[in-house]
Amino acid sequence: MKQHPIDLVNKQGLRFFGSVNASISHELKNIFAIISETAGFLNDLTQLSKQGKPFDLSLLENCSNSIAEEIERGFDTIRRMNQFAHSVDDPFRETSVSETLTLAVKLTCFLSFAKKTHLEESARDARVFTSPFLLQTLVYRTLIALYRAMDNKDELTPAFRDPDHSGVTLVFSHRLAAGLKDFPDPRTTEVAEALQAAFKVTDTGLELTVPRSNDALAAALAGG
Amino acid sequence: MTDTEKIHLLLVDDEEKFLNALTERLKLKFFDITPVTNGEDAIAVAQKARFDVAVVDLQMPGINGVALLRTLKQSHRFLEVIILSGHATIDIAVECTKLGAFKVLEKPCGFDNLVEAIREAYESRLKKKFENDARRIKKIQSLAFGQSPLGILRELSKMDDNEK
Repeated sequence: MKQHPIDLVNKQGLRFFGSVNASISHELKNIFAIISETAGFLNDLTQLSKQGKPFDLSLLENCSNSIAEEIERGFDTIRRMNQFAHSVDDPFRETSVSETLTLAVKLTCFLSFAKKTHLEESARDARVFTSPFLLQTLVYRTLIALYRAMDNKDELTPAFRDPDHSGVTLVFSHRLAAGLKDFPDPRTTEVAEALQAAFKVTDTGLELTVPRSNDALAAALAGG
Repeated sequence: MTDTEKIHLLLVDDEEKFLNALTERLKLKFFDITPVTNGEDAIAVAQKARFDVAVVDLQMPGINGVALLRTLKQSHRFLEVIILSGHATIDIAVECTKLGAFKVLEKPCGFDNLVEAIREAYESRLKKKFENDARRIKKIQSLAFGQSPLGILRELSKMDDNEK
């Protein structure tokens, strides 16, 4: 039975939020662990100094640089978390495909199995009228499926194109591994159907086409 | 403290900065550290050098902490492995313990706690090694009675194979 988009947002949304929060908290833990050990090392060096034992002063510089870099990394992580949290502000609105793709790549890069991903610079953005949260969910799930199917040394180059007025196509080009044949899985299919999005596997990669507008989804989300 | 008296530690974490900071601090505690950033390198260095204790991050790209724990315990029976996890659930702790992990610590675990865990792991390794050596000596002594020289050599060879 086809799920109502509101139920889909509630059910898949909770799972997706949990998954993203888990990876963000893991990243923050790593950052704190580095700051904690570096600060501890600074303290060790202070103790050495008090005991009159010499040490290389460049170590102090390295430590302070490392702490500053980790604090910036922490801010960047929190910025992404904030951007992600705001994706549920409006159930349906004009959404930037470029921003959605960029945020999905940045959120998945915290995962240990994520592969090197190059985002192509695009001169212009493509925009669609859709559920920003469900689109974020779909792009995130697609990236995860690709990472799992790719070899460790494979690299991914996602991009998008808007050949006509009917839709925007996200292109995840890379040498496809055998594991992707089970994609899309049922949960991803549910989200894709609600968004009226379609997947197409080509020789060079995976394509995901999202319609410019989706009146049925707009009505369902407004009515919910 | 001489190099031979130091605890030989294999440190595996894909977070390079964490690895470097921890390595510098542990060096000050007179540990002999070999830091590596992935499971593949850890297996390679463990084949070339002898380590007393390995501290292994759970979530790493490629060979993850659980797979590395399994491989290290299979190849190095006296090596004690401490797992560091960003998200140490009971399920993970149970799985790692079943595979022979000495301890599972949640990151950030505190430097003093980690040092204490490494020392305990080292003591555990020494205890197991001494017990094993005592068994070997007892067996060698028993071989000396009623065996031909060739028979003794064959038995010793078998015992050496079992040590690998």
